[in-house]
Amino acid sequence: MNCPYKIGVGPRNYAKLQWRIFHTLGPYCRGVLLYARETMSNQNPFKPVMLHDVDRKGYEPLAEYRARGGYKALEKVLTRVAPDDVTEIVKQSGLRGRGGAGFPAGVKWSFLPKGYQGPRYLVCNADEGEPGTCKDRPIMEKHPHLLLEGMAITCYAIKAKVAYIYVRGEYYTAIEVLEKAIDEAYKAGLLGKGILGKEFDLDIYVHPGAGAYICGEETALLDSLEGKRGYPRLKPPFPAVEGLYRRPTIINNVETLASIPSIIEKGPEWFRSLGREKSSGFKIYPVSGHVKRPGNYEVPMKTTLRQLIYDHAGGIRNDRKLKAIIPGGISTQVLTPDSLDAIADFEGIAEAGSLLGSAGIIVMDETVCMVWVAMKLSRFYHHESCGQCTPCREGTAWIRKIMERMERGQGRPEEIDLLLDLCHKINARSICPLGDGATPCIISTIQHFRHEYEQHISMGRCPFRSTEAH
Amino acid sequence: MPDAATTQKTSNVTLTIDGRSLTVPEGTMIIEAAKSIGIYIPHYCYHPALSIAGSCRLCLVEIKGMPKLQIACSIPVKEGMEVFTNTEEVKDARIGMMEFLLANHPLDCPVCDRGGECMLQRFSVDYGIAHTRFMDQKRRFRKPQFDPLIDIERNRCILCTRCVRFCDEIAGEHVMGVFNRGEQNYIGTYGDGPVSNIFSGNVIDLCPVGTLTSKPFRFQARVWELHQLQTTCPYCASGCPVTCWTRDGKVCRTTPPIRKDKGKYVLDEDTTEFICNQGRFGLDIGHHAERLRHPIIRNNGPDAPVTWDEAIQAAAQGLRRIRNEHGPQAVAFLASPSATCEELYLFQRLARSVIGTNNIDWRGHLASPDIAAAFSLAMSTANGMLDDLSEIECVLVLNCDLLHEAPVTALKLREAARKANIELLLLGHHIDSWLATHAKAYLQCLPDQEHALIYALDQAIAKAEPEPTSADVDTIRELSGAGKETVESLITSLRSAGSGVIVYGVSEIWSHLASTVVDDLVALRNTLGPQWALLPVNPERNASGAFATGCQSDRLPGSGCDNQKTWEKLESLWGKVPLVRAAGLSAPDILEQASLGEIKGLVVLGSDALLRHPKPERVNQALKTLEHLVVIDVFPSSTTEQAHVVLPGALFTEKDGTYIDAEGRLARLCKGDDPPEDARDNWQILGELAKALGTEFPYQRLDDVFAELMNLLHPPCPFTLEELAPEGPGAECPIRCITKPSDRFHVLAGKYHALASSFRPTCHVRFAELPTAHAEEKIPPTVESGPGLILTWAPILQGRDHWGGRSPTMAPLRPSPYIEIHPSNAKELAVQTGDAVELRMGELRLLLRAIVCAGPAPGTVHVASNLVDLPLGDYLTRLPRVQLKKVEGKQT
Ligand SMILES: Cc1cc2nc3c(=O)[nH]c(=O)nc-3n(C[C@H](O)[C@H](O)[C@H](O)COP(=O)(O)O)c2cc1C
Ligand code: SF4
Ligand code: SF4
Ligand code: SF4
Ligand code: FES
Repeated sequence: MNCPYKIGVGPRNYAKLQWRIFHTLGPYCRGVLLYARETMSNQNPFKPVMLHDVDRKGYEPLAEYRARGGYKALEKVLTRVAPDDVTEIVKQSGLRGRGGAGFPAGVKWSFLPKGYQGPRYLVCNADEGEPGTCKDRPIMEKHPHLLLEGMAITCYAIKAKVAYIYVRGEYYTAIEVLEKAIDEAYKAGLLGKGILGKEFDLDIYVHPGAGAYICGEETALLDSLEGKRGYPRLKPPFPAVEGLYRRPTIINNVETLASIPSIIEKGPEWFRSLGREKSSGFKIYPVSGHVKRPGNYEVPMKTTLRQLIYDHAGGIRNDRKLKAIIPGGISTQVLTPDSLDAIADFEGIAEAGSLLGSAGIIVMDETVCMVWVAMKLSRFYHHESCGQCTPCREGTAWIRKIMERMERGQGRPEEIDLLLDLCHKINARSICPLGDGATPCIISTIQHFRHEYEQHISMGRCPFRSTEAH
Repeated sequence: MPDAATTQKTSNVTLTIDGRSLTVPEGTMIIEAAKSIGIYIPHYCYHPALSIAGSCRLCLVEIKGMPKLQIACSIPVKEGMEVFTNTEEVKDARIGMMEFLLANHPLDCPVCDRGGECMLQRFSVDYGIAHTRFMDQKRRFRKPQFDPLIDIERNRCILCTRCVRFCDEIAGEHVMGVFNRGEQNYIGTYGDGPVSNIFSGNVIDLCPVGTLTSKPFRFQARVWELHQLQTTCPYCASGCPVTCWTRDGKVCRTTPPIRKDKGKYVLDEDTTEFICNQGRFGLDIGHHAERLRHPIIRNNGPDAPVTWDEAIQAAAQGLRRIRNEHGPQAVAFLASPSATCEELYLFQRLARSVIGTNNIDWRGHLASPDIAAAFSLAMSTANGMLDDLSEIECVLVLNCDLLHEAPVTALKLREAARKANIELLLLGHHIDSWLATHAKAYLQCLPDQEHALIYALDQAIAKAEPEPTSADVDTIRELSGAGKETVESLITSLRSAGSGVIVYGVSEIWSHLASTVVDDLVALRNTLGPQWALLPVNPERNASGAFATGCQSDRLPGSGCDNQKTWEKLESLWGKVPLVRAAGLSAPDILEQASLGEIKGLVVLGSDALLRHPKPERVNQALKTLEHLVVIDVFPSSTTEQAHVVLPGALFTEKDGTYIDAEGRLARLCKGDDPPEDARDNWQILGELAKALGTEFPYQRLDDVFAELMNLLHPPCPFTLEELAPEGPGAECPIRCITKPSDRFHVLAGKYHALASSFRPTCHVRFAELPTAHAEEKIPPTVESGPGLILTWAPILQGRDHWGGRSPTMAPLRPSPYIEIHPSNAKELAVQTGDAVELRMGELRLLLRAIVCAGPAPGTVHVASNLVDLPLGDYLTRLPRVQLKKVEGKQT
């Protein structure tokens, strides 16, 4: 019996396909889900791998995928490369996790206990819950076989025989497409027993989530997959040692896994050459908010924020002034236009004072009230905190209450510092990074836009609204 | 078992905490390591008996070389680690957590029963901030339907999930959970039902704040006003130490034993000793309205209260007359196995040296002398202890619903099995389904085939071959219907265990099978070797005490094996009067001889055993025939109704004394109240009775009785009764734990352990065989033929009982009459747990609640005999078959 109150398990409500992104940021990320009408702007010399022909109708069926060289990489590793060498290749490529933390994928795989004989698992994290992030969805909806091939290669490398794809429940199309693609793959002998006539077995299962952001966190995801309440686990033990059903488990993001076939095919050097030293390869950047062409852009990681916003996404809507950028999903610090020339890779954004995170870039123009943004985001964290640990459970709720008053103009002067202090008391003291992620939006908006907070308090209302009640 | 986990643990690591260096076993968590050198790290969610949640974040500490603060409860120590528990950052974190936890807290300490013991209050002193920065609306939850005895106040909850983890892990029932998410998280039970396990009361102590509090104790008192009475639970042979918190002698609440902290006794919220609900809520019967308060002499007229002198004289006079007219053998004595050792010792002295008869017994609930003989064998071969489970590798439980007979013993076993410290094996027609979840293997058989199964196991193990032969395995499979692997793994476990205990439930051994089963068990134990011990579990609190004090027809007090010497010793102790050495009658024989008119006078000390006799009409008939019946008791019963003289005695909170539990531990019962009105302490009543009969007992104090009794044991207990009391030297137990093998007494956690042999004599006095009347009970065992399921039964602790059953608090917790059905039979009947079923047995119709579980063997069903009215006495030689039918549309 599933308990409807449990996080991340329970009846799925497909009818309520409300996009959490809209809920959270409303108009500021309109268009995010209408991904990439114009993925290839003229300025993009890079031939996209994951967003190839993304505007097609329906998904790319197996025959088509194979016709353009699909599953060649799998065949190659199965015939010519030993599992450990696959891991080595991925290590050499410098591929870093695309789910948010940016941990090198090959290094993660090599954490699996050596010599362990029992079952081990691969879990593909397709929960994609970070507001402003919608890069995994086109991969699953258009090129499911790319993901499946990447998973098969990974399973071969880590010697897993079973893999799961934990898909965000609202991604109904993606779930359908993946199911179909998996069927096709089984029929073609690309999944199941003795894949491509080699001694390699693999079963892949799709598991829909039930609408909790926290179930994207890898250990909460595992709990949810096991049928429990999605509570992040204490680490150590890390999933690579004790994960799904307490067995060694590798968890990777969709985009991470979908990058792997091309690395195998074209070699790690090619992949490295696309980025900078510590952030190699190409990546999808979902750009949303007040830009002319919101969408997903797949570019080498050398690209700057300015190129992404002005060249690819066409610049600010109505040619207004740029006010703030959230560079990597809402759990990262807000940047000001000063940082436009930062390179949008892990190091570049870190140097600018934020994090690349999931690379979901949210662009805000001069009409936006930053207190309102912080309030909206604090609502999100309050709603999505799993409530397991004290600082995040109580802190996010407290911050939301203050922020709601603040936005209405009912804040107190001392409460700006109180907010900072609360953030300090949550930071680095919670179980999982959600707690840490709840604070950057508050801290950075106060840091860059403290005067807007002060204005709210002194005016007794939001200066960006004509009336008090909105 | 020397598995990987335990061998790893043997290496030590050295680290420093706050600059102090210490060495602890590898794998110890920082919080425990700190505790071992007296550094207390504040915590809420951590509890040594539970899994680690790591969610309250109060225990954050600084570890050199780690960028963030780390939680001390989940980080194991490492060589060279440097931990700091009191830096500015740590303090800042604790202050932060306290502020977060108190932000939404209602701050209603003045009306909170946890006040004074609350961990929020405690840490607020150190880490609370005086003013509040939280200006908004506090979170509010509605008060739900919850438990009949546990009150829930969700607004105070800090979501440490101790309660949830206790239910899931230790009580083994997934009843509590966290609901909703984020800040709206709250604690509850599924479907807002009760916390339906018999250990549920422990969540009250485990809850670090005032969310879960005791309903019976609600608004009764502030804890600091109460007097703490450290004593022992009188209800079952688990023998838990408990603390009764009393006011004016009245028990307000009962908890596990308290801990001494800075010279003050406090309830330890980190205690790993748990007690069951019977002990926790059932001790409040001292001031019960039905108590016997005045002595009564019944002369066929209305009962008029009389003075003690008159009553004692009347009691003695009747006994003297019968002894003079018909000889001492016409008088008999029946004791209760719930009386203290001292009372029992005096009682048998009264019989043996004052009246001059050996007609003394405590087993008034047994239906036939056959079973009595089996009991004697069981008790005299008992030598098992479960106390130090780390030294035991394997435990085999036969036919024992331990959960309902000795709950805390069951709890300890299950914990050990869950943590894989022991291998747990279950056997018999009725296994404990609660234990079965963590059992390595279990075998079930029909009730009349148990001895055959044990014998077959014995045979299989006795063979020299390393592997059991397939013929042996097949025999066992035929009897038990179990798979080959199960049988083989069970045999392998038994054979390979370096040490083990066979636990068996005495109340589930049927009359006709008793002796055979016990014989076979003893044989099995002998085959398994000297590293195996036997442990019969009598549900009665002091059955072992009754045995050790010689309150049994075929036993003398003490642990002497040489009858001649013991007789002589007793003669010299008891004033050099020659003792009658003629055979004594066991309880079933006493009742038999009474109804035949041979026994004319009977003294009953506590009528609870008699009340559990399966054939009440036979007891009644025997009592009615008596010329003189003297009953010492605390509550009226069908026995006191028939008595000629009723002497009101003292209940467990009103007297001092000792009990011995199933495993042979001696525990001190302490007096915290006076008996009501005219009622008196039992040992004084016995003394006066002896005096009126012409022999004055030489004891000035109860201590003297205890000392005399202990002198009969080998070795004697090193403490006096006084020293065993809470403030005495015997009470500082953990410090005085003696581990040298030569010290036969060692003391652990509030209990006094004698090694098995001192309270468990290994031989018993042999008298000549007596002819017995009820020949029909010697018929070999059978099961009724024909269709239907075989009915088996045993009493449970929470059933209707002479005392425990009277607790008004426990009434809502008493299970409704149920019937356990094996899943295979339930499937045929289309019955699920919770369905109402009708039981048909001849003319009888009973409506029962079905519980589908692995407890009963396939083809049998099991009822708790003291919850239902079944004429079970008619079925002592052949087990009945019953028909079951699901009653549609009824849920019970
Ligand atoms: C609150 C929270 C939500 C997360 N949500 C996602 C998600 O939706 N998708 C995802 O791929 N990773 C998510 N992550 C990151 C995962 O925990 C994990 O780091 C990632 O799946 C690892 O894959 P990678 O190494 O391929 O990036 C989330 C992390 C946190 C703390
Ligand atoms: S930080 Fe928040 S989301 Fe993460 S475990 Fe704690 S309460 Fe849950
Ligand atoms: S009810 Fe008590 S024990 Fe349970 S989670 Fe709340 S505070 Fe902890
Ligand atoms: S297990 Fe027995 S001794 Fe312990 S509290 Fe319960 S009834 Fe009392
Ligand atoms: S005690 Fe360590 S986190 Fe709660």
